[in-house]
Amino acid sequence: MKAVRILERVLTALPMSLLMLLLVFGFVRLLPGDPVDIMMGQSGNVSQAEIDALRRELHLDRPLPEQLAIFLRGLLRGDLGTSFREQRPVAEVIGDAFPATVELALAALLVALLIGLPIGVLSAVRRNSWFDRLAMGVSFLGISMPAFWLGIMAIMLFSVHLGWTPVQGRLSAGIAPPDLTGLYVLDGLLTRDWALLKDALLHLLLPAVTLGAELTAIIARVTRSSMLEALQMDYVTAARARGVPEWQVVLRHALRNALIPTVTVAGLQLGVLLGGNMIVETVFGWPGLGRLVVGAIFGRDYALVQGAVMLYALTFLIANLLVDILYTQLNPKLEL
Amino acid sequence: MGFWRRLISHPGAVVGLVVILLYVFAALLAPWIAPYGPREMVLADRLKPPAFLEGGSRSHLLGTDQLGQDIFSRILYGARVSLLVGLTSVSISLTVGTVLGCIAGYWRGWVDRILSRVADLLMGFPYLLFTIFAMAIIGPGFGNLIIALCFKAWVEFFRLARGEMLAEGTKEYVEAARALGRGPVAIIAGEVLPNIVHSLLVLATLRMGYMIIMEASLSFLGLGIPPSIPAWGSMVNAGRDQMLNAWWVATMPGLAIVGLVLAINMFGEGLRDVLDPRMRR
Amino acid sequence: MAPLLAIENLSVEFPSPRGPLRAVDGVNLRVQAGEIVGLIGESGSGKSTVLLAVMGLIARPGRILPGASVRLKGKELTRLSPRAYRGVRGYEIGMVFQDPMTALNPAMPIGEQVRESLKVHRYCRSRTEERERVLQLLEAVGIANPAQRYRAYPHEFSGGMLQRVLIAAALACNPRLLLADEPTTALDVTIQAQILDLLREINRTRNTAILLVSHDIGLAAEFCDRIAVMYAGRIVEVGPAWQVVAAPRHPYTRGLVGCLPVWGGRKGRLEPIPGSLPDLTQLPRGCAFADRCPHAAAECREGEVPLLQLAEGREVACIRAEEVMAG
Repeated sequence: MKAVRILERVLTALPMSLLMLLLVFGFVRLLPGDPVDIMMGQSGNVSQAEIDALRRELHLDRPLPEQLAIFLRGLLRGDLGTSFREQRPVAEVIGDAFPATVELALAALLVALLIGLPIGVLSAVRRNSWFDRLAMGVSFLGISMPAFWLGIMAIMLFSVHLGWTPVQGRLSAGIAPPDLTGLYVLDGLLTRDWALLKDALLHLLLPAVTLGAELTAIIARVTRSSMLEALQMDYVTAARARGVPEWQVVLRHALRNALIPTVTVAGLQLGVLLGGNMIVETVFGWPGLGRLVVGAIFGRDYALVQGAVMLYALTFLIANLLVDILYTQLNPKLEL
Repeated sequence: MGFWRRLISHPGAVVGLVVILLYVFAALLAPWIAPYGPREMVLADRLKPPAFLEGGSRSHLLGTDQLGQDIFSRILYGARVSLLVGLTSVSISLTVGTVLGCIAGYWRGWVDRILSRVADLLMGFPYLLFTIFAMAIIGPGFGNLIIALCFKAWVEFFRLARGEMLAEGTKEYVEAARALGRGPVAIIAGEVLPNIVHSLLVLATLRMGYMIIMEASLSFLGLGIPPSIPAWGSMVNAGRDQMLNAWWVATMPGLAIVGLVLAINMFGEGLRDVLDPRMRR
Repeated sequence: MAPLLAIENLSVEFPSPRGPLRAVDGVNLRVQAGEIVGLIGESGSGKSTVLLAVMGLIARPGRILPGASVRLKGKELTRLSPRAYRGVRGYEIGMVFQDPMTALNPAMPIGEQVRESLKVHRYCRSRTEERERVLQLLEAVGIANPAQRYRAYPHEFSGGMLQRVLIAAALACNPRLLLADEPTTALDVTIQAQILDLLREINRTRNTAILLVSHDIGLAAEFCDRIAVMYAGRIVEVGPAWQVVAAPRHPYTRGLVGCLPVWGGRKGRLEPIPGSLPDLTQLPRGCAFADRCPHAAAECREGEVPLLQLAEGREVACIRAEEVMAG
């Protein structure tokens, strides 16, 4: 039964994605400045013939609906046009960049969960202790800090002055990534290439922590408050009355229920994670989709903007869907 | 009023409010208290460290950047940008969102359905991406920045207002007002709104800090405020090149941001603590 | 015969903004093996607190005042280490709570919750045995189709069924004593009767003693062997159930009984007891009921009023009980 509902949900998400694609398509066309002029203008003296040729190539001489049709057809074929800046197919460019973004986002999520959840639980169990106050104070700070500044401070301290971590990028020069999943840390693990693993991890550390900082703070606070509520519940007293040891009461009973609001809130913050990607990637020179999008928008690289933003929006949609599914798994009272 | 008394006795709210006021005064009085102009370059004093470090001097309290501009002064001027942008965008989002939310929650039906669909669609995009995109389309500038920020922000207020409106709409006092023959606008504005304004204000305060960070992020990326006006975000960006030898260039403006946002959040939390128990009852 | 449960001089205090609040004041109570004792009182009388104190579940910052003694089968519970106490909870004493809707974890299947004490106290030798026992218990309390219902969640049951589940969970390790905190208050009247029948059966077949807390003295009269009436944290009357209700000796008990509507019986109005509970942070020196008592005299407010033995098994905390009886 649940599988059917999930499928239902996925199918309803499709028209939404289509709508988004259309929106992106339209918005990109709204970007001011004639792209051809901009592109040509960068290459110096060009003849009118060459300009016309480029215009034809980019289908910009056709009416808008036809451009849309061409685009959609290309989409089904996997052809998203060519990036002018990179002189490569868009699909390839974003295909290269996407795993980097995924790796960063996953790492940030992991950091946020691994640090935020235990802190939230401990703060609730030891309410008003020094730990609680400190934790809540720090997390308050965490949500008040802009990610770009935190990233720069981290780089200044750990990379520039202490030299513990590298300053930019995903890998140091001289280390060749294998062509496996595109997630270098994972690749390193899978191929048992310890040098790769270490290098990739060191590069991933600061960006992941920076990106995950705000989410960590949010998760810690939400977990704490929902744990506090759960611990007041009758079923907690009832469990204690059955002789259940306290740690089990906290984890099996209280946390099980407290996770529901936590997941909800964390899920809502996914957008922050994916949006914040752009900032963090730019600060750390992380070759991901976010940095790509920013650069493409600046450079008026239409095709690239289109493809990248669409992928972005789609990822967002899918992530939200996954959170929805997870939520219903946790809360037995709900149906999708 | 008991509310004010409770607010004063809430330490977080008081501290937050005091700091916010400090920033506001600094921003308002910037032209008079700033030792230097916002873009005044003293090339001889390039990259001077802050006064409390070796090599610094009183004339440049927080040091200078690579163009010889006094960081302290620029921070004061930057406060104007951040505060103005933050306040305006929150106010607009609040108003637009509330109005639309009340409409949707009161009349329901197809009006509600359309508005909610639009809201859902907008929520489907990550905020920063959307704003960058919007900025790229409508171009740089103060007003445009605010519009871009509001474009998606109103949705949150919309949802809150709509939710509260739906909840209140079934209550008796609304029925009573309708029975008295009062028109919908009068009912919404006069009866329901005063009851839900608390949660809306709390949300507005809490979102303001977020808006300011957004503005700073946009300035950091070079979008948003025209570069001629000093903004904290772009100041931090300028400091990126100086990470090795002049750490203060990037750090100080960032601290200014953190200070303001922290204060706003503290005030917002205090506001919520004071209002919330009353609201829930 | 030594009692199964012996509570002596139990006092429980909670800090409050206006000073320490004494929820339970010098309570003495005994429960014999296999007996059903009712602890009756209005809201705020401290009766639920007594149960929590026996279970050792008085949450900080509340505390049991020193000098109290709670002995189960001769074992002093108040001096147990937390670990040892956990061994008692659910194993030697079971507890059933008032609202079954909130007393069960909504995110856990009911079978698992019943199984919990079995697991924690290692009652069975294997998981299969545990499951078997859970099914037996569920069937014993009247849950049809236990094998299917094992994996069901609390929200799929009605209040009455959930209470049965709670009872099953409390009885899992076959404790000698069952503490029941208003087990029927949250249920419909017809279901109430069913649950009481169930409890009575358990008492009969397993010889499990039951300490039932309720505000309903009529219910207690029917269900319990003995009744203890509590007021403002103190015990004011003890005795065999029917006796206490038919011939109450304490003015408060009399008032409680007088509040009961009677079929076809008395003409005239229901007599509520005027006034309300005293401030528990400032308990009076004398009888706590004095301000509401129609028979109060000066001596009632002077000093502590002890529980006087009127007859075998009959105690009253009223120095004017005999006089009032006669008059």
